[in-house]
Amino acid sequence: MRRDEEFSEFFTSRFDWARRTAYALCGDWSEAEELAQNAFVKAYAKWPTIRRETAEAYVRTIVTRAFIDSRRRGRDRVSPVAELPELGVGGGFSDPDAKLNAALQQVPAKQRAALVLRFVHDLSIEQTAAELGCSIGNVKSQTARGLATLREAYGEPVTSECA
Amino acid sequence: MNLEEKLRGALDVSAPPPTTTLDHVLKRGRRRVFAQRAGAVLGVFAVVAGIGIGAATLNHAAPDPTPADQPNYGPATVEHATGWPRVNTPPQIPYGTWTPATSAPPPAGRAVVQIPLCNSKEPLEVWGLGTDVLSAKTVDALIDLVRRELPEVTVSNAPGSSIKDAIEFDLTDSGGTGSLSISAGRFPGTPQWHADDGLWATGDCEPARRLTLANGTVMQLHNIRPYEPFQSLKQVLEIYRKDGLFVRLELRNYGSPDVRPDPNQPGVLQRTGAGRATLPLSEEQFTRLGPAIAGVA
Repeated sequence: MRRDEEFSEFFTSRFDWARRTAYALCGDWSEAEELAQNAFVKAYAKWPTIRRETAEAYVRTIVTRAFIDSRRRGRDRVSPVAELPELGVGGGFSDPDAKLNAALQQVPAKQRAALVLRFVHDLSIEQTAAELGCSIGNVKSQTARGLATLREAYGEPVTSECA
Repeated sequence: MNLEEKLRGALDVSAPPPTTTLDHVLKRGRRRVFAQRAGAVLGVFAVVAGIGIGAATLNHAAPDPTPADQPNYGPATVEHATGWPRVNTPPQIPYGTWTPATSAPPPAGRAVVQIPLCNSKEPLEVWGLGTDVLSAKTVDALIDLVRRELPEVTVSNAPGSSIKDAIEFDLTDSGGTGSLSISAGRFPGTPQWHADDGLWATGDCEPARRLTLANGTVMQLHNIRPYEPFQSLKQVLEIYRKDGLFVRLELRNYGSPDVRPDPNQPGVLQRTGAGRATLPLSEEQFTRLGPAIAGVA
């Protein structure tokens, strides 16, 4: 079936990317896996209507909005684990990144999403607004506040492109 | 290197191997497609049946006029202890039935709940939730109030009462320990509009139950929803006050014995236990809290 072939190719090439995007948002690999998986399931259902060149953006939008929704509904306080790991979960940010990730997790969800889309994915303000479903002004304010919070949480004086 | 450049490298981190397989996604995707198609077909049948029933009903005589000696005759608009009416709107068509994930199933011997699944619809208006709009005095008053309203339940220390995003405490009876989480925010506009906006936000199939108080407060009780892990259960009661205060109560089937602090993320809890088999409050008990909390929050 052509649908399955095309989707399989897309899944194989972009699932890990979607999972890493989700991890940048939520800071938890199991939740990131769940967010990415749900996004691909929704993408499969809509596949005939999705243009290949916009499929990435489609999946990223689902991941981002699902993440914001989960935080708005209070999931940020409880991270589900099926069973207790005997050792700390491996595969997280490497040491230099651990501090940045920890600081990023201190940023409120929507501001964090704006930062990830703007700087991790290098989207324009207009593209970020479209993915978050909000106004350009809102993206600007969320980004500025997010950077301020991140800078404070990071705890080191760092230079910044934005005021 | 500035902060923005550091962020640009956030995807290039070492990651554990993914556990999601293509087969699994294809299987779930095909189920979703099937459910959507089945929903569309059922929708057509429902419309046809609705037209038929509507036509038959309209052929009957008009309802009796309101009896002059029964001023409360007609639909309930005043508070009842139980039996809040459902919002008068068609239900959503389920796309499937709850199935626990194999990675975090319910404990042995616990039956899998038979709850239909429907798509949740994101509200148009979204605002932040926390405890900022609840003063410390109100927090104490809330806990006292829950103890007073539910004398049959033991209200005790929270899984995370110090967490800034919500006030939480355990609710224990002979069935075990569950918990209640209270958070609040402020909204612009009318309670009715926002209650309608959030009607399908939790993924209900049947419309939520709703009660409008004489002072304009709207309370909305969503249906019980299952979620991962361990077949967790939750039920949400939303209070929209006319002065713009929104209070969200989330009842859960697990409490502080079932979570532990995440050693890697301060302020975040990890779920470790399955909790009790049912929610710690009945709908009657839960709805009892609504008007009381609307009054003190």
